[in-house]
Amino acid sequence: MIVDKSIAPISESKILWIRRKRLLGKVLFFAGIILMCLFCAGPFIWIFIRSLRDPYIPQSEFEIFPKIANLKSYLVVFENTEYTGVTFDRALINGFILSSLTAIVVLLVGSFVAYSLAKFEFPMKGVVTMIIFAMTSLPPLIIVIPYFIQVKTISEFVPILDLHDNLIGLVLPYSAFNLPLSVFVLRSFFEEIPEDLWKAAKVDGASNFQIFRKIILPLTIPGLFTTLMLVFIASWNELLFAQIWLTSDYNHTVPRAILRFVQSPLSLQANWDTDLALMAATCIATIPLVILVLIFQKQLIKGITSGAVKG
Amino acid sequence: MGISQSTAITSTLRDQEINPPSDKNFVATMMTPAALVFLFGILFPVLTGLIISFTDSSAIQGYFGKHITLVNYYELLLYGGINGRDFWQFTYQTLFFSFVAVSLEFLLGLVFALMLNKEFRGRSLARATLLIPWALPTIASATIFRYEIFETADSYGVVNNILILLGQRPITFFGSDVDIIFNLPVIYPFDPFITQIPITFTMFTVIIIDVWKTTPFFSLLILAALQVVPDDLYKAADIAGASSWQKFRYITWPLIMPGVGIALVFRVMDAIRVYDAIIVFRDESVYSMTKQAVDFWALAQEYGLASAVAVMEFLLIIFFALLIIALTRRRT
Repeated sequence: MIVDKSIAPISESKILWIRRKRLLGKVLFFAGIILMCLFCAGPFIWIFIRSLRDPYIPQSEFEIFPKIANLKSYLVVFENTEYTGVTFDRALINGFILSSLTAIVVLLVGSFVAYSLAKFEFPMKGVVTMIIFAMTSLPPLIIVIPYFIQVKTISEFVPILDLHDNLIGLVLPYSAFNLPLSVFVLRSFFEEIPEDLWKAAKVDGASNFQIFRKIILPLTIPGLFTTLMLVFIASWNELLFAQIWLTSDYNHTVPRAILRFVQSPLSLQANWDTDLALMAATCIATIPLVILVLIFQKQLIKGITSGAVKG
Repeated sequence: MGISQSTAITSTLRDQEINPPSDKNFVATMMTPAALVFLFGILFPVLTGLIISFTDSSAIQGYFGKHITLVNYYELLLYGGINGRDFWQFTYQTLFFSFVAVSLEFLLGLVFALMLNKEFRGRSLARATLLIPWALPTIASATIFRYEIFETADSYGVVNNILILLGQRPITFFGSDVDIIFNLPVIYPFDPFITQIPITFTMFTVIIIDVWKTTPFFSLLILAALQVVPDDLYKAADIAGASSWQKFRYITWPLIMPGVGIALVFRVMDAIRVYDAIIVFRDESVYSMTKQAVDFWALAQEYGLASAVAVMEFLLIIFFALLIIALTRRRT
């Protein structure tokens, strides 16, 4: 009886208090999550809403949603190429070609290295890993100037190899810059393959290359696909090399096209809102990536994390 | 003799059967394409870059210059001309930017990762939104923030309109009459006096661009590191009556430290190379080392100077990468 009297009233109020505290914690937690999502997606959603405005009608006051949504800003971007000097459709095609080529080269070269690192012991293995890691630390200019000179010097002897202002010329430096990441990502995928499978195939008399092509590669298709996308996105977004290397407007990549759009002096005379056109251009450049990323988010997150944490 | 010969033959045959091609050859073959990419894409260019940084290479003197000199490094580091002043100013700005941006990204990324590490409804959706800023080209995020978010109130900038709504004074984030946050005291080696670099709101904008762009990446890396922490440890700590700060300080932090260290190294290396985020501003108060090297190359056509800046940048990157590795190693 004594115990009942002393505990019952305290525990009731305490339970209420704990419940309130828990509820408050939950509310705060979800407020944090919503803030985080707003922080990440907000700016993108904002420019998308902005790009739906009519660029020919001057805006009078600050408002969040346009009264009538339309796609005229997008037409401005594609139609007035002589005004802005930027051919966006061309840039999209160029970006796709360059990024796909780079991704394929990196995948081929990188999977060879990653497989050797994951499944074989060989002398200088540590040195090779160190070199690959060191490759990620290079400033771009220490590559691009000499690479330019290298290509120019070679092309004096073999004119057909003058790859300056040519998409193909960018595949080599892009591959070199993306190789480390892809090797680390692929290595972690290769390491997941059970050792027994590999040994069984070896006992059955399969050659190393047969094992690699017929057993390992089919098993790591998700990993290969993840790497493909990581490299594709990285090359699609690269600006500095493209800016220095591709001098003619015909060879624009997408980030270069956006930069040209920003700096284009002719667009000052335009009779449309240049900011809205710029936002439409930004949307054009980013919406394909956003869709791609949202569809394959699981694989991408796995790729990003496995590459860096084990590297 | 006949017997030993036949055993020798069979034994070599057996060897061939069991170990068909040697692993060494296989590895060598697999490495060849990567070695070629490395040779022509990295090693030759880097060596050439090193060499021309010690020559007077320019548009006039030719790609490899006429003389081998230390004049590029002297001009940048000690001489005190306009190029040297710019070099030191841009270096300080790069380091300031990297330090502030990476610190903010680390703190915010840690908060995001700790939130995402809990189970809740819509978790995968929240994680997916993290990928949006990461996937956008940096130049696109720079234009978003430059022309929409931080634009003046007349041009419908979001932040300034919110400030006006709240009854505050709008901020000029860029342009000739940009608002200055504070002056950063710095030392130039050729100047006996301590001089100041104004840190403007343009720098603030660039930092926000970088934070927006890479915090998600950072938090994903920390989130991956958090998966390593076993749940049992938290349960044991709960029984022992540890507070959540104690749990973080003595369980989570030591265990995620190595992963965080690697993420920090990657981020600092990237931050020092900043270029895409700053070029839409065309404002010297945010220029970085990469930007100066590009200008030496493309505008002044001083290839030797450009390479020298790139080499200095490389040394800085290596220094800070090793520093962070050493710091995170020692504490674990």
